[in-house]
Amino acid sequence: MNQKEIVLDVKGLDVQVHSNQGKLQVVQDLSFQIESGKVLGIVGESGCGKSITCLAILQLLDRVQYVTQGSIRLKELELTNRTEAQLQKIRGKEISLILQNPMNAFNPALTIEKQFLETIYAHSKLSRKQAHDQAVKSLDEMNLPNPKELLKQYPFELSGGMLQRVMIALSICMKPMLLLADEPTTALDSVNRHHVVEALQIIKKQEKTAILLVSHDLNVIHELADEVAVMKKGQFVETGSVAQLFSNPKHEYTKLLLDARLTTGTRNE
Amino acid sequence: MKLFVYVWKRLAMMVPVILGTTFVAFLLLRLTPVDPARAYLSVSNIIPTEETINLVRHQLGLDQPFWLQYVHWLWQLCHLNFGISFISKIPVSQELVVRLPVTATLAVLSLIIAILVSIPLGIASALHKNKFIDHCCRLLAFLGASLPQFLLAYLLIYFVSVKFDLFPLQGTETWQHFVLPSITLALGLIATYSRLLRNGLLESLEEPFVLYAKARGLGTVALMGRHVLRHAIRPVVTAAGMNLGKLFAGTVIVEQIFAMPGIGGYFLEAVYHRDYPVIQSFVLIMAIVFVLGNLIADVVQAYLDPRLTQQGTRKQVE
Repeated sequence: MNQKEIVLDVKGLDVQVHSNQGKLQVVQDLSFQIESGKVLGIVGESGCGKSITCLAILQLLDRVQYVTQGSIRLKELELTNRTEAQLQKIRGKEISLILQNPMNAFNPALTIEKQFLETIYAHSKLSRKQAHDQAVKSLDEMNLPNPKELLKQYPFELSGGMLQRVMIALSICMKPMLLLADEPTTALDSVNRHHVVEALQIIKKQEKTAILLVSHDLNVIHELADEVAVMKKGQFVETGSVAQLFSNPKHEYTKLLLDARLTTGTRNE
Repeated sequence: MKLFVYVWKRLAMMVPVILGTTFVAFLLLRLTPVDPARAYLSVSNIIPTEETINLVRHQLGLDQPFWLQYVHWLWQLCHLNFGISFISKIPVSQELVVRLPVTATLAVLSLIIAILVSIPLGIASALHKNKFIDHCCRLLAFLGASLPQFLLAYLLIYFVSVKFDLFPLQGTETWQHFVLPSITLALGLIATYSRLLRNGLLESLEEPFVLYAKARGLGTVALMGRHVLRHAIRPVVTAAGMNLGKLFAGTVIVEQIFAMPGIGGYFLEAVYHRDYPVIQSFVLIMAIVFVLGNLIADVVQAYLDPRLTQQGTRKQVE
């Protein structure tokens, strides 16, 4: 079982938005694979179709507004032709999502515990106590202090960084095969960013989950990703291993992104 | 616990509100050009002369200074004495004991009907936005909002009571007697609430936390109930809280049509005759009902969104 398994296999993914103004191609002919325990980083400027790709994998794009083509396979399972009921069983259990703004992503009216437990109940037959223990355990794994107290709190009582880590804990609670992290550090300051990177590193080390890390923060990509894909206007313009891409970028756009990082990097130091 | 403190604070705030409204009502009543003593005499078919008017004024305590009258009224109120009607000489409390339950039942019943009907209608029209069902609900809303109560009441009487004899026509003897009046009052509310809920639902569906809840694989019932509806129903709760008072005050037409001895007719009569104690009691009851209605709405709101009772937390309430 030590052999790496391909968890996510995307082939020829196309997404079109249909609106009153006509059709717009937002994602074009994307193909990529992620093995378990590996991290694929997708970098690119805002609006290049990164988040749409995540939602397309989860089949959460509105079917009237968005037209999706291509194949998305989770291990042996083709996701594009599943029914809504089948997808509900996969979302949150096999594939989980981390969103970029945890302050809006949690329901402000429910405690952290309620949102943890409803996710666990949706995918398992655990008792209340077992589910509670499970929640405490995954918060603990993410090195969050006082998990029991944390569960009793409302989202608005926690800081953004804390909530983001809670969201990561919640996402690995059901031991998913695939984790989609959509800009997990964008809304955070550098201390919290560090905590989040650490948390994702813990998941990576367990070598069970494949991670798709979407970010425009190249430092985070550098620290976590094995492979990187550079995205521009819905297409991959360059892919490669982190070392190769960072040391020897081929595409002009990649060079541009790296240059932008270097200038800000040197200014900070 | 936080909610408990909150409720106490709000109840304490009722006192100045009630003092203020009753005082203003007291003042305004005495500024009206009609003299209650004259009104009393004309009802009793006595020709008002200077002498009789002064006599009546003295009997009714109207010759005393304004302040003294108000303090006297408050003092009586502390002993749960609402005063005696100028015209009928029957204690106001005696009438209220009989009449208030009728109006209260009618108001609460129609509010419950309105909410129970609006929720499925609102959900249906949000889920089928701009489709046939939504258009039907919109038509119903327009009808409900524009149809006057007296017309609706007579339509219901004609079709439901007279033609098909499903529900009794007039009176308050059984619960069946309350059905038609409640529906009459509820229809206008259903129109507002179902549209409020529809728009709230459509807005909530766009919230990031709903997307996140979907991404966690929640079932439709948990998603719609716990996340979407809970968030969307808040404007309806506020509206219902305000409508409770309006329903108490606005049942007079319906009460007259269905011959129900509620408070509406009683107070209308009192206004004609400048029957101060009765009018004053009415103002008091309305103030209490309005404040209580809003309080109940706010408590429900606080339950739906705990941010409202939290103070000094890290993040400001939106």
